Amino acid sequence: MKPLAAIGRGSGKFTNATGDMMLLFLRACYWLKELPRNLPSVFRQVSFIGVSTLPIAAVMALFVGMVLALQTGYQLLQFRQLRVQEYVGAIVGLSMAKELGPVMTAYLLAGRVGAAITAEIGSMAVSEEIDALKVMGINPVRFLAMPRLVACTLSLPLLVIYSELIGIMGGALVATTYVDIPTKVYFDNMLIVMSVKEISNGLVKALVFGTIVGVVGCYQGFTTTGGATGVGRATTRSVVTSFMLILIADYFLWRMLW
Amino acid sequence: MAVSAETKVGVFVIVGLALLLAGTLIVEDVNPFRRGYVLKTYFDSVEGLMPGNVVTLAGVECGKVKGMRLADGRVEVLLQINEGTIVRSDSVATVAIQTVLGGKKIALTMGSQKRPALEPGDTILSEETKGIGDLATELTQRLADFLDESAPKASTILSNLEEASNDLREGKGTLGRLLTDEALYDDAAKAISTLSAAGEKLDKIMEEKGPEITRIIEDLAEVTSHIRAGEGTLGKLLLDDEPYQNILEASRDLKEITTIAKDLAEERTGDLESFLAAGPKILEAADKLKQFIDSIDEGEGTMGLLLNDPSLYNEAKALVAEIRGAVEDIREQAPAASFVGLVLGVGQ
Repeated sequence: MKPLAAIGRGSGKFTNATGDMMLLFLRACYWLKELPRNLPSVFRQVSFIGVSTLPIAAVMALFVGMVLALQTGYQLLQFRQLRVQEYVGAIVGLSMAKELGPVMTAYLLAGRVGAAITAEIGSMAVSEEIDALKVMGINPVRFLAMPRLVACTLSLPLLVIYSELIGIMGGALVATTYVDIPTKVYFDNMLIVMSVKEISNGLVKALVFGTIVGVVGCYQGFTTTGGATGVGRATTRSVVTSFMLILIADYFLWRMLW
Repeated sequence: MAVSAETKVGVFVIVGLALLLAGTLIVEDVNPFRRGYVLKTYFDSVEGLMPGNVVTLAGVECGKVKGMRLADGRVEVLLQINEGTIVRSDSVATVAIQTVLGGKKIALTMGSQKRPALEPGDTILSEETKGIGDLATELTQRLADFLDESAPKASTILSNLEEASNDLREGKGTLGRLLTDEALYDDAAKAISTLSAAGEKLDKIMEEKGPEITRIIEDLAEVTSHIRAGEGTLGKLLLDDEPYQNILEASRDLKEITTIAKDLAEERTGDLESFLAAGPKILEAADKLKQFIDSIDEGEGTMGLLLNDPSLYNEAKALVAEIRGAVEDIREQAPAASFVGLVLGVGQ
């Protein structure tokens, strides 16, 4: 009976949390009407979320592209008589645009930015600053959640653009040095299979992932309890929940877009 | 001067969007400054061709597929041809596979230089290519037909093969015996081991007697070279015609002789026959003569004794000596005797 009760309680919590997150998202969307008044806050958040994450995202993307080219090139070189190693460009380009660019960058964002948002808002929650805002007539969602949500949603696609380009360049570097194919062949084969649709679908995914990171981060922050320990736990939950939701959304977006 | 957050964000966004735009243009190969003209072509089926796919003329990229639409039960394909590319009126357009990964393109043939160039808006001749699906269906159909035709033959062949393999397994026939009889293998193995032993022995011999054998071979080579040069009897025999001619003559003579002998034999056949008939008699006489001579040798008979007994010879010799002595005496006494005789005779 106890396990069944635990499952029942867990399901209830899960459903509650999902519903609350959706409500938070909808409320933040409602407060978009106040966006012009909150532009400085949005810029600050984009600066932190987008610009500051760019160096780390660039390094990550470079090595992801290089490893991808290395691994696929190595395998394709087993069939070098068929000259299939020339398709490394196509493989790297498509992988970065469709999957690795959006997902890996979203993970990076969830780990760095999502945790930071949860920690910041969670600290405010446990020190009752949220309540103070309410007392002052400032809507916490408008003041705290909406700018961060907008920043995450807008930053991630831009970060993905940079990541994809840098990843493709990293792949080109490995292709010319290890797989030993000319750069022109690498890019020609990539351009044959790439289309705007691949890139645009990747950016749509990035939009959705950015929103997920922002919503989850803000929600976990607002629901933090239990002092400093609670903030730590909330931060961890925020990252893990973001990771899982990104993967689930990735699957469903794939089904919808392709 | 500290850069404000707004500036950083502005740069971040502008550069990102610019990169996105450039990437899109490159991927889509959009060049608003490129001029060209549009040609049309018609297909029954385009099998996955899409707007934006490449158009090639004799393998060289010369444009893009601008658009497609259905018209009069066929597919009208609009081709954006680059400026400066001349497409002849007898060029033929086909839908071709571009890469192994997929993607289609329109391939145009060069056409004849004598034919006029197409003007913007003209229609290019087209040819349908069989898709992989059609080819596969055709192949399958042909395979099925072939199998239907050859099924009886195949079954005969199979049953023959079965019979043959059964025979093989049971060890019938030469091949079967070869497969099943171990004795042959044992013999072969023995032969091989014997051969290898012989080979080892040969190696040993070569090791020990190698120089000698080499010397013999060298001598042989010298001899044969002499013979070949016509030196020596053998050489002359080999090279000189004369002995052969002599032999030929001699054989001719012999032939003549035998002919004569034959004639003679034929003439004297009677003589020969009687001679041959006398043969046993002669042999008998010879036997008897031999016996006689043997008996003489053994001292049988008077002649034998005469011949073999030395006492008679000694006696005869003594007698002759006595007789000689007597004669001598008589001779000495002969004058006296004759005187006496005379006296006595006169006195009468």
